[in-house]
Amino acid sequence: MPCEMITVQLGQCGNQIGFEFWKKLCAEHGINPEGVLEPFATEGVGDRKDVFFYQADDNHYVPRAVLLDLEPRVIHSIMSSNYSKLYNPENVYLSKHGGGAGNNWASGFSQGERLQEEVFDILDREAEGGDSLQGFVLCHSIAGGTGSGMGSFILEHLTDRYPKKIIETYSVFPNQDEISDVVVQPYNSLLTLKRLAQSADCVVVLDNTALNRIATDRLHIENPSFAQINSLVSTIMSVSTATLRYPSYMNNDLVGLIGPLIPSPRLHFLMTGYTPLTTDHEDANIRKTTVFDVMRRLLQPKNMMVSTAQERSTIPHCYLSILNIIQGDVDPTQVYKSLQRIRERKTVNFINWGPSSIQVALSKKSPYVPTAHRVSGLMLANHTSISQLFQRVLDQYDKLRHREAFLDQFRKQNMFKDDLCEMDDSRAVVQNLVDEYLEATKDTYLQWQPKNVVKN
Amino acid sequence: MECLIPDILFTLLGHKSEILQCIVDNDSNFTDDEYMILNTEDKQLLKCFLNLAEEYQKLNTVIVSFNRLQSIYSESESSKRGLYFEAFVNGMLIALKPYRNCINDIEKDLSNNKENKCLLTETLRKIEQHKPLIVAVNNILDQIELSQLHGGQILNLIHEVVCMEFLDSKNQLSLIFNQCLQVLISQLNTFFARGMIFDPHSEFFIESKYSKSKKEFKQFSLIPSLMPSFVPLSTASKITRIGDVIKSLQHSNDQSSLINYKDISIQLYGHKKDELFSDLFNLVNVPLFTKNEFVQVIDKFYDVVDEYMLKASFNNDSFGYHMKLVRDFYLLGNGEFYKHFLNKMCSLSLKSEHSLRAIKVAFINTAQDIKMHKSVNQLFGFSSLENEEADETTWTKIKVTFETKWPLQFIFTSSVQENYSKLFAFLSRIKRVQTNLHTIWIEKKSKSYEINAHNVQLKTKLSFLIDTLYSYLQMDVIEDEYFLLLEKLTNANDFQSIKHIHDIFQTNIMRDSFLFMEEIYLGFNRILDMCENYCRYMTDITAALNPQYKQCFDELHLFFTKKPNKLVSLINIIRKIHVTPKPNQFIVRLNYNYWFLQTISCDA
Repeated sequence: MPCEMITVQLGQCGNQIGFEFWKKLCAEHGINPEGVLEPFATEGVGDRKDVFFYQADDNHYVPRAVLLDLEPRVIHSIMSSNYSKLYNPENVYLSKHGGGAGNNWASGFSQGERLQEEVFDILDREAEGGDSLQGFVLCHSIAGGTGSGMGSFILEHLTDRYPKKIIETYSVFPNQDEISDVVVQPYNSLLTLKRLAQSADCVVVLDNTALNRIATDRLHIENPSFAQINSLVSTIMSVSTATLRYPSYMNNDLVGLIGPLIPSPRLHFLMTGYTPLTTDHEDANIRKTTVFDVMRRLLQPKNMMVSTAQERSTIPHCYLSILNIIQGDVDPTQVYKSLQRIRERKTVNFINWGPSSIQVALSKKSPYVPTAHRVSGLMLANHTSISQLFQRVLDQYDKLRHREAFLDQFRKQNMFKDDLCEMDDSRAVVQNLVDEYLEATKDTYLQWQPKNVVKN
Repeated sequence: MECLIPDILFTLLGHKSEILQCIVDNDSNFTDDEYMILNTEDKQLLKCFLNLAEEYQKLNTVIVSFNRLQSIYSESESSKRGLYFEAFVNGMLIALKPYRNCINDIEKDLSNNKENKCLLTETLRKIEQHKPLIVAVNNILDQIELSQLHGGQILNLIHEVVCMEFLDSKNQLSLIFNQCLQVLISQLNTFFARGMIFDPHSEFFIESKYSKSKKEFKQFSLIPSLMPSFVPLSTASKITRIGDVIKSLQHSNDQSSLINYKDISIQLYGHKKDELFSDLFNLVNVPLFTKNEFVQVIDKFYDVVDEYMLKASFNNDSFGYHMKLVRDFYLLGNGEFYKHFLNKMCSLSLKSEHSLRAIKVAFINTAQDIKMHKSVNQLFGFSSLENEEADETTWTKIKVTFETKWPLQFIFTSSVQENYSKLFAFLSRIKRVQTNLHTIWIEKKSKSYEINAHNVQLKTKLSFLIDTLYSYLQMDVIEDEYFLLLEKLTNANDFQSIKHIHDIFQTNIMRDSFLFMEEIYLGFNRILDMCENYCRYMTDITAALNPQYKQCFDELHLFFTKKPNKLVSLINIIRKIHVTPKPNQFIVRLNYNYWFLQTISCDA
């Protein structure tokens, strides 16, 4: 009776990162691309495969994954890869229309509405298959059409249908450093952000801007490919679920993991950091890693996978909470010592309207995937500076909206036929979110009330 | 005068001669001319003979009477005297043989050389050489009779006399001692080979104790009054420990029969068996037996037994496996298991009663739910710390038992399991409250927009408190100590040090988990009760209407606002602990962003 999680991957981006995630999970649990346990893994290492997989009648492992897209390209490439037999074909849903959402949130949302019956048939069947379903993991991008629009629809309805299940998303934010060919990206992002703010319980922000910068600056890859970026993403996804898959004395369920990270329900956007970062060709250059090294490095902004400008900001941004998942050869007596040293340095700012600390979870590592480093760590942090990302969306939206640019595509859809209320409403929600994060930097946060609270 | 010599020799062999007595006493009834010619010097001489004869007679009476037991002593009296006294008598017989030989020699000389005059003085000189021995033995006998000495006490007395005598009689006295020592050695022999006490007259310094539970192998105890001084207490304890080991080994070999005296010496001592036992028997032949020789022999036995236990402990990583069971099930290392298990239990509050049967059923069901190997859940049992027969218990009085593989019952003893049970009860109560608070997080998450911030914040702060307490106990206390235990184990090279390392582990985690600090332990338990009530108040409509729960809810609110309160006083006590540095880590974790202490220390 594990605590099952169902992964829903949506759109091009969602399916790509989902694909990388499953590849990684298979490798870590010793499951081959066809779902069969490798001979070396039959003994098991106290791992829980059934959080993310279930066993079919012939005992092979099937991911609890639902693959959804409105256009066939990525799903076709998955289904023609050597992992094609891994997935339950009934869980792979491609719109018959096949034309995609045209990078338009509204199109994605309305197609989601149209296809909801078929989609929720799959989701409900998958949900009923588990003994004690914990929740859903949604993988998507907020900028395109399917992941953002259809993702928003599914998010809203999942919350309604499964109010007692946790809905966690891994949401990819677009790269700000390159000019996107999706001109309506700010609209798409804003409209999706409203759903992430209102319907998701926890959003792990995967910021392409930061991921690309890390790849170029830290990993010295000149033009990082999707695959290279996605490998970073899949690492974050796999480590953040490691304590569920390798259960030990603590953090064995999702709520225990994310509950303490979210001291205030609306402030549920998490940033991540990972260290040490290496690419394959860098393996020779192994540094000595200790628990303290890892914990110290995780607090450095350059290791954060969200592009915020903490140093330049005049606002005293601070942490609401931190969870470090440390893997590898760890001397537990070093954990407290490291915590103490970090505290003594006084370089980490926390909120001062409530208790907060660095939680540490020690997690086992897969014995089947060799790593060059003795100790590695992932940080999941709730930091007020993430609001800069949302502010950026607001700014870009305002610019575009001010010019009334590209609104025709939206007006074609039912939701925006009469007016653009939905956009205004979304703007207000995101503005409230930004405001609340800024308020959280102050002592008086608990007295603060959001303006015009929008009921869900 | 010379014609009296046969009479004299006859007397000296322990027989009464009235004639000689009359002469010495000048009894006129038996005056005879011949005898009257004795001068005073001769009389003096005769007196000396008679004195010696008298001394020997006393011993001889005992020897003779002991050889004709039935006729002289009744059955009950003979059983009072015991094996050691019998050995003492035999020893006398052996030790006094030179004396008897001496008399016989004189007699022979006399009959062979009728013409040769045998001088009384010469005879006396020869015989008086044996006098110190006879006197010494008589003293021993007197003391035995006077103080009613028994068994080991007799051995002890003789040993002391042997050690103190400077005379030539020392060798002869040693012969007596050896006879008695042999009794002890044969008792030890059966004890070391079969774990059996052969002691029909209750003379051995070890007795077997009646034990209520079959699983407890503390079967033997010492009787200090019967312990010879050459057996130091530490050595005696080693002997009983070896006995306990033998009994437990016999039991683990064959669990069907309660009484089992199978010889397990080959299994236990291996190829060293012959050497060990011959060393034991050779103790009799040690010319100047002292404590050292005895201690050495016992130590050798003990070391071999210890080595065997050490090997068995590490065989298939047996000890490691048991420690993992302790970590996983007593100390909640298997978090996944306990998440499900605790969900099956009703309230764990201080007062709620639990059916032990229901606990066991929940335990087995959980094991099935998470597809745990069957062998594990069968190892564990549940009872009450207060009453073994009870069907019900409150959570804090629960006793969790587990079956161990030989010889680990000597480490995971009943009291060790009781201590672990206390840790189990405390940890599981915290985990239960933690899980309940998580449930509220899920229950209330969809309504988060309607809830006032106060309620959300109280839940957040309580969660922080409980999460921090649990992290502190699991990571800073248990995981730390467990790591140190494994590290120390690599250097352990005897069974007793494994036991010692383990005991330190347990003591440390109990100490740092506040189990020795009644006030703090109870304080936390009360707060856990309040948290349980809070969780019911938040999730159960009927509880929400109950003023009792409402009151609890209001009181919890004050924890983080108004002083003084239960939490504040508890934290203040913890801050004052100096005997161990660990609790401070709890405070540092709690106050990591300097909010906690600031909030609770400033006045509202």
